[in-house]
Amino acid sequence: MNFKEILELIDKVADRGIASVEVERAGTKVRIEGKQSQPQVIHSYVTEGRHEAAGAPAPMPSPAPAAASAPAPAPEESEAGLHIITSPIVGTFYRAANPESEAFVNVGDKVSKGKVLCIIEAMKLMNEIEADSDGTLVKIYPQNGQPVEYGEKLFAVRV
Amino acid sequence: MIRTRDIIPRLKAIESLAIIPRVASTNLVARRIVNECIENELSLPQAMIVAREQLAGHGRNQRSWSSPPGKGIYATTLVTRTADEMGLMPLNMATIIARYLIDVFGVAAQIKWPNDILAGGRKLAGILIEGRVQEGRAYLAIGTGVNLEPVHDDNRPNATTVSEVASQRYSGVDDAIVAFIEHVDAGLARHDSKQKVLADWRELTVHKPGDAISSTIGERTVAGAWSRIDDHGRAVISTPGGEVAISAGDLITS
Repeated sequence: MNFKEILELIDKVADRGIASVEVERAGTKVRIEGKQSQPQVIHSYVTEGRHEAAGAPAPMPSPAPAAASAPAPAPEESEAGLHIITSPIVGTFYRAANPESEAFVNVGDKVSKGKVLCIIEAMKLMNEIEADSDGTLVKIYPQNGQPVEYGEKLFAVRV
Repeated sequence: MIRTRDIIPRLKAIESLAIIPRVASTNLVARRIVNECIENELSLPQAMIVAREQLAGHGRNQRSWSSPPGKGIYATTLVTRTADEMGLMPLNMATIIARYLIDVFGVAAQIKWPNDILAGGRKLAGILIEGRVQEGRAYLAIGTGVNLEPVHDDNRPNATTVSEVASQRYSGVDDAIVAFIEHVDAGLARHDSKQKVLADWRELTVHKPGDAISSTIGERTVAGAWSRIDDHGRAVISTPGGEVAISAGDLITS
């Protein structure tokens, strides 16, 4: 569900005097409550799901996934409506410029086109991967230091 | 005294050349140029920046690269390639620098994966490439450091210099820089195929099948025997659990 569709939904709720409506589509849940003539978006979120590795298996064993700190209420994954940024090369994924630096981005951050999101290192080639559109970062697929394959998913951005 | 206007007409790939007395880091200057070009939608000049001295030269993981005045070559070359060609540039540059040292100084230069240049098992040159990809084009800043002359109170036991290993063929920093510019230019202008880069690298590497080797990435270590590089340029290590391909990390030989 994109922003335009949400706006259209708000208009319909306002026009028809509906008390409230909740729509879930492709992992995005939106609830709109109509109060007088001014409906408000009360809550929207993306249901986080488990990531299944794409493409060929990485040659090096991946680190064990960290234990989930807050299980998502609806674990079924969906990427519809999300813009997926993939790796242009085979290499190792780093979330920061060096071990002492802070991560380039975190889930929930607003990103703009051209913003550096990570580095993929391949044989001492530090390749900066940048956002190719504006949006909000909703998922980071690899762990820091994990090998990634060509075309493997790196980030999901809600544009 | 190096006269860039005398050198430029002889170059085929490099369009612009800057020799600067002192910078923080030639890669830093180059990255600023890359960022300016991308932000303003300008084509990237194929250029080389050479510094006489770096105040903050660095290698992988921000490790300091000693860059005192008049003791080495500190250069960054700006190159544009397709995103597909980018992957083997670290190995390609290693073969270019190794050939430079062999051809000009007669040094028995060898390559330690992926692109450290050794002589007699000690480090002579290093390469660090920083890149950005925009719409299928890779903008690369290829940083290269070559140790030319010993540094007083040098505390790098595993390093050596061209003047120490090249005997009478080394004739000073300026000549070495000019020859470096010309060799890098010629190497980039050749635009070697993937097969040629891999074949050259395999010919020049210090690693032999069966050599004990280990690699550490973060907290993970893979230990075993050197096998080969694969077609991506990754180091393939034979371990008791099977072969493991390494694309990044420090390689430790014993």
